[in-house]
Amino acid sequence: MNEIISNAHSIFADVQCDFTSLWKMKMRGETVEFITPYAMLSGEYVSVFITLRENGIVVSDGGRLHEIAEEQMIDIETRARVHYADMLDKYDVLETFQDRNKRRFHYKITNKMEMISACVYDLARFQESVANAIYLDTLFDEEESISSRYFKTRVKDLLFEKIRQFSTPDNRFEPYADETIRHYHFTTGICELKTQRVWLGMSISRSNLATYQQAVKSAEFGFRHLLKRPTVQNPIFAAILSPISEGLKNNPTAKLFQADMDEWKNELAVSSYSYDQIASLQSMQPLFAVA
Amino acid sequence: MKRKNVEINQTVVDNFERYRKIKLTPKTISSQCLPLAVAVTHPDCRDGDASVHFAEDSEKGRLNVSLNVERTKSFRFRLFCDDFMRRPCYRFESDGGSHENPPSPDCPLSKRSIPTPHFHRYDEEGRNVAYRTTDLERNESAYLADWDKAFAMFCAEENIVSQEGFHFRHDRSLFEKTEFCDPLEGVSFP
Repeated sequence: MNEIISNAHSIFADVQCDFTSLWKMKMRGETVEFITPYAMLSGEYVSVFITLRENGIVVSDGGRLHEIAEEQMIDIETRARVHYADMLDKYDVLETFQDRNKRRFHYKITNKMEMISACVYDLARFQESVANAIYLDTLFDEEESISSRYFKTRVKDLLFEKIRQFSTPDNRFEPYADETIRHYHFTTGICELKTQRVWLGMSISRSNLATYQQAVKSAEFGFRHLLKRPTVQNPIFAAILSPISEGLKNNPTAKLFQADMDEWKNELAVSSYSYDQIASLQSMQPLFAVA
Repeated sequence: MKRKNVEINQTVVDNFERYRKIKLTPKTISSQCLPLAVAVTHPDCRDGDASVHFAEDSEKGRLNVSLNVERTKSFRFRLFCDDFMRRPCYRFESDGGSHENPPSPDCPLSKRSIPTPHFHRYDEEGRNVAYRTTDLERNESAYLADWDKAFAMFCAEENIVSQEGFHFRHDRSLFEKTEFCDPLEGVSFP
């Protein structure tokens, strides 16, 4: 008999103990958080939040799944839809959208203390599964992911280069960002120090249908929000479009997105540039010259 | 189709020396006061940025501070170098989920889960790693109870010096509680 077999029981006890030690607990006012040993692809362990309401014991994700989808710029209902709906079903998870914090919460509810473990397990596995589907969704479609992120990075690097190139002691330009601008994923902000005018650019990748739609939607959302709650006075809006892929050139849905974008670009006074147009700028003037 | 890890930071992998220097170079905070304004996304949060000046080279840093004026144990500090990468280079989170560190031959399972409060950095392979210093382990409750002390600890860890009399400026909440945020507060579950 080898050592593993002869010590099987104590090894098992040790493994159980080590696994158990991964569980943690944190008090949060009228709610308790259990940090589970299930980790998402991002490296974060899944947490469940437990509290008592009039209608029972609630075990919830605390809105974290919604936050993750937002951070990854995924509309959970369209992009991870099949998997999301399957998992809601499989684990019998409920959802509620709260206007107050603009967040979707996932939860289970029970009146029996002895059912808390099952609810914790279901919510944890649900979150782990859907969060990972969200993360994978941004990766497995490698070509789309690379081209859209690559385009955004290329545009950002190009604009930074132009800032360095055209900033003079008499007329300085600097990158500009604040929490709102970062939150709405603007690609680059440029401030003309002399006039304090701010130019805000959003890159829009047109490599495939899903990316195109996502980019158009989130760009519109960002521009509209900045107009409604301005953190800068009179910003100059711009969209930088990637070349349209061959597959989309005659695609009727892509044409719809284009028409949609043309409409709000007009409405919100958003100027439009290609990468090459930015690259061939001989000064910042054309960007800032718009009324 | 090749799959890659979600959180590998390629910028760090390609420029690890520069990334290390961002931490090791002595830095100073230019201003004496850091005004904190209501955060757009969380009405209980107050956040603001301070410029960070690097002693020896032309790096330009930005320190972002985010505090919760109602649940005062939830706060974070983040050091950005916007010319280098979009994400924060180094950060401290007082609250939030535990972090799973990558497997390593000498790290037992029980030590892989790093609860908050903790620091974050990237390793040579671009992986996001969380860690707790001995000082943090010993004095965790003191740091969670006092923003200024926690900020001083963060600055010491990241080699940042602030001017004499440096302080945050913000309003204080009437509902202040020395607690962590409750994400289910005010949420109804039909």
